[in-house]
Amino acid sequence: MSSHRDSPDSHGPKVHVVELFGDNEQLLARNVGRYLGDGLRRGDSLLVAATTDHAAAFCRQLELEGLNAETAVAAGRLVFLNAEKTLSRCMANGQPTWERFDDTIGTVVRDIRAKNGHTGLRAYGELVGLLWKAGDAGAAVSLEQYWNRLMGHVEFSLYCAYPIDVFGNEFQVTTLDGILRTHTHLLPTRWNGDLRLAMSHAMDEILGDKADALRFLIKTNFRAAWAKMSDAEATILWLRNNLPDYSDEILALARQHCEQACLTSRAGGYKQQ
Amino acid sequence: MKGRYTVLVVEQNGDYLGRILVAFVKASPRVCVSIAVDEADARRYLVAEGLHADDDEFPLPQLVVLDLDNESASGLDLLAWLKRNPQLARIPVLVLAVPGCPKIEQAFSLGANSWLPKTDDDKAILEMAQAVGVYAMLLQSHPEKAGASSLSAIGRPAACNCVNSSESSGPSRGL
Repeated sequence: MSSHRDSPDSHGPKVHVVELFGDNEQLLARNVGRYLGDGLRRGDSLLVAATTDHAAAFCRQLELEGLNAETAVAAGRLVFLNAEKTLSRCMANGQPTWERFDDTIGTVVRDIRAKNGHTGLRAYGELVGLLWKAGDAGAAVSLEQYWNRLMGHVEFSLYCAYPIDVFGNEFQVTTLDGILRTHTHLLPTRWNGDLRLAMSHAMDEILGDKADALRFLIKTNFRAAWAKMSDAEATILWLRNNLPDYSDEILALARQHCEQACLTSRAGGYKQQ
Repeated sequence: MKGRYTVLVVEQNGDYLGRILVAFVKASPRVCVSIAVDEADARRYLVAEGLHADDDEFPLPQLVVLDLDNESASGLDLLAWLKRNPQLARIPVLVLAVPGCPKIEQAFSLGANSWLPKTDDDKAILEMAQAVGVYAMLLQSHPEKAGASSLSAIGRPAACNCVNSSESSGPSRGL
């Protein structure tokens, strides 16, 4: 597994990041709002394919950052697509197809780039998250591959989000391999400094002096084909994959530590990782 | 064998194998290292065939350390075979390879559990042996789950089900 070594918040062209936000909608709104706000301030155009609720939350976050979404829309710098409707347009016989994806999303992306040819484009998409939530991980990965294919033709950065809890059973190698292979970065989970500490403490408490030896095995596991990720997420994946008898109790304890840390510190957001 | 853990090391290079064995003796004295000198030897060991037919002397390993650093693709073949076999697939396989070796990614795709960077530094080999020994111990000895999911409860596959006919002339056992 790739250990995260460089900054995850460099949203340059060809960067395709993924955030796993679990059920923390507030965190998602803050992080995506900041990503979009940074783009607007840099002169980038924005494409947001989100549910109505999320789109509203992102607009509120932009306002908190002193930016006005309506003004950006009127200026053609911000384009909203309804995630559910857009997803249905990308599907044929229950699966996304490249032709439909390109007709639906590719066309919009190329239009935005043509209008603002000398500035960047930041895209945010949660069609994949909808597919994941519906239990169709295979279709989500197909859609990610279509995004990457489009990025091969048109220059833009992309931010995806999935309602996956890193402490939950879904967050494991077999389930996430396709997602990790189709992104460049996995954004650190909310309280990443806390998450790293929480994981470290939980491993020490459960495994005692054996924890250090395992850290040797964990730190050497770089997977070139995967998205870069922080040490904390890499550790969770390793434990899930390699020490299943212990992983549940270590992760339950780490979750407790994180929640306690959250009560005393509201640190978070992708800029602070 | 109570309180001891078996690691099967698949290593063709005699010199390097010697260094690994010395490291295990120093760093993880409770680990019994079993040796296979090539893919075919490893298969025979895992199905308890031929010279490896004695379960007490050659128990099913807690994990396999597989050196990928050779000319042939046999290490990857062994890994694929092992992960296809329902009775052996749960045995973690740690692949040993130099950083940047393209076989590492192939090994992960085939189900390898971890990668161990291959090195000439004896101190690093010692560290690796210690880590592997601890990992083997943890795999075998969860205080509440021992027996429920430990590898010793898996049993071994019949030789005729998982090796080439030329290698499967011996009797199968341990089912």
